Amino acid sequence: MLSLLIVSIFATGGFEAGGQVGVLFPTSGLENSHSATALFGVNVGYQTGRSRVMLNYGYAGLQAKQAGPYRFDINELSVGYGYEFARRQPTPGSESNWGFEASAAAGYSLLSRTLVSARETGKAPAGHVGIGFFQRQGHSRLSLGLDDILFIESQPGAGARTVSLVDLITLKAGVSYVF
Amino acid sequence: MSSKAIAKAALIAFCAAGSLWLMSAAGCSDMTFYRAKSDYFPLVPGSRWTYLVAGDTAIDSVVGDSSVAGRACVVVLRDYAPEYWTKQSAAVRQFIQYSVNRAGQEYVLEQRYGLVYALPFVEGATWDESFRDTVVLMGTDTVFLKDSVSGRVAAIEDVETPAGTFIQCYRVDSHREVVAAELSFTADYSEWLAPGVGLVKRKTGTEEKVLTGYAPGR
Repeated sequence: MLSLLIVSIFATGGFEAGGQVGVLFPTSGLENSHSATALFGVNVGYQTGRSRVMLNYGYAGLQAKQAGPYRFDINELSVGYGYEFARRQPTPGSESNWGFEASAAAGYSLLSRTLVSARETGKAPAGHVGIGFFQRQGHSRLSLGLDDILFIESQPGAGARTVSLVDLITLKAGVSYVF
Repeated sequence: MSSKAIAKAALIAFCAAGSLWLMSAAGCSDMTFYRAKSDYFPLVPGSRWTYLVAGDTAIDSVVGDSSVAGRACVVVLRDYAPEYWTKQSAAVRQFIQYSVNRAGQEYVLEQRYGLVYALPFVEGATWDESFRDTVVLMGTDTVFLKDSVSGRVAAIEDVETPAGTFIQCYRVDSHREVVAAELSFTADYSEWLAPGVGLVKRKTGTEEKVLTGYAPGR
C-alpha cells in the first residue's frame, strides 16, 4: 500500500525548491520578554495534483525586549503536507493558477539561548498548521500565508508530568522554482 | 488509484505520523521554551511565601506599589520588615540604605537601588556591580564605603522542598561584600529560583531557608 502510494505520487507530480521570509510573533507568555523577529527559511517540495509534500528548514532569532546581547535562536527542520483546497485558473488551458492551501507539518528544533558568553542549548518537537494564498505561473510559485507553530515540551516531576506549550505565529511569504 | 484517494491517504498517514511524532518526541525536549517564557521573580501584589529557617517560620509577601528615592518600586514585607524592589527586563534591584549613628545623629552612607539579579537568566551568565564612596561624618570622621556584588547562574536543577518539587530552577551563586565602618560584612550564598514562584531555597554557609508554602497573588 505504502509503495503503491509512493510510486503513484512520484509518477504524476513535479519538484520545487525555494525560500521564505517572514515575521515571527511570540505568544504563550514568551511575548512578555521577547520581541517579534524576522524568519528565514528554505524548502524543497514535491507536488502532485492538489497535494504537496515539503521539507522545510527555518531559522528565527528572537531578541529580548530590552536592549541587550540576549538572543534565542530557533533552528527547525520539518516535514509537511499541503492541500490546495481552492484553485482557480484565470483562462481555460492556461498554465497559471492561484488558490488557497492548507498545510500541516511536524518538525524538530534545535534551540539556543545566549547572553554574552553564557549559552543554553535545547531541543523541542513542533507541530505546524498553516493556511495561505498561492499563485503559480510558469516555473514560479509565490505564496503568502500564516503558519502556527506549536512547540511541545514535557518533563516528569515528583507527581504529575509538566507539559509546556508555546505557540509561535508566523506570517510568511515565499517563492519557489518549479522544475 | 485516483489523485483524491492519494491525497486522502497521504493526509491521513501524515497526520497519524505527525501526532505520534509529537507525543513521543515531547519527552526528548529540554524545557528551553519553558524557561524562556517563565518569570523567575514574580512580584505580584498579594503573593505570599512561607519559609522554614533554622526551625522558625518566616513569611514574605508582596504588599503593593510605592515610590522610593524617586523611583517606582514594589513593596515586599520580609518577615514584616519593608523592602523596596524594582524589576525591569534586564535587572532586579533592591533598595539599599546604610546609615551610621555618630553623636546621636544619623548619617546616610549609601542609598541606592543595588543590583540583585541580571535578567534574563541563562545558565553560565555572570554579573557584578560595585559602588564606592567616601563619606565625611561630623567634619572629621572619614568613612570609606564599598558595596560590591557578583552573581552567577550556576546550574539548572530540580529542587525538593516541603512545599513540593520545583523543576527547572536556576541556581544563582552570589557574593556580597560591604565595607562600611561597623556595618562591614561578607556573604556567600546560593539561591534556587523556580519558574512562576521565585525563591524556593537559599543556602548561606550552614543555614538553609526552604519554601514550605506559596500563594500566588493576582
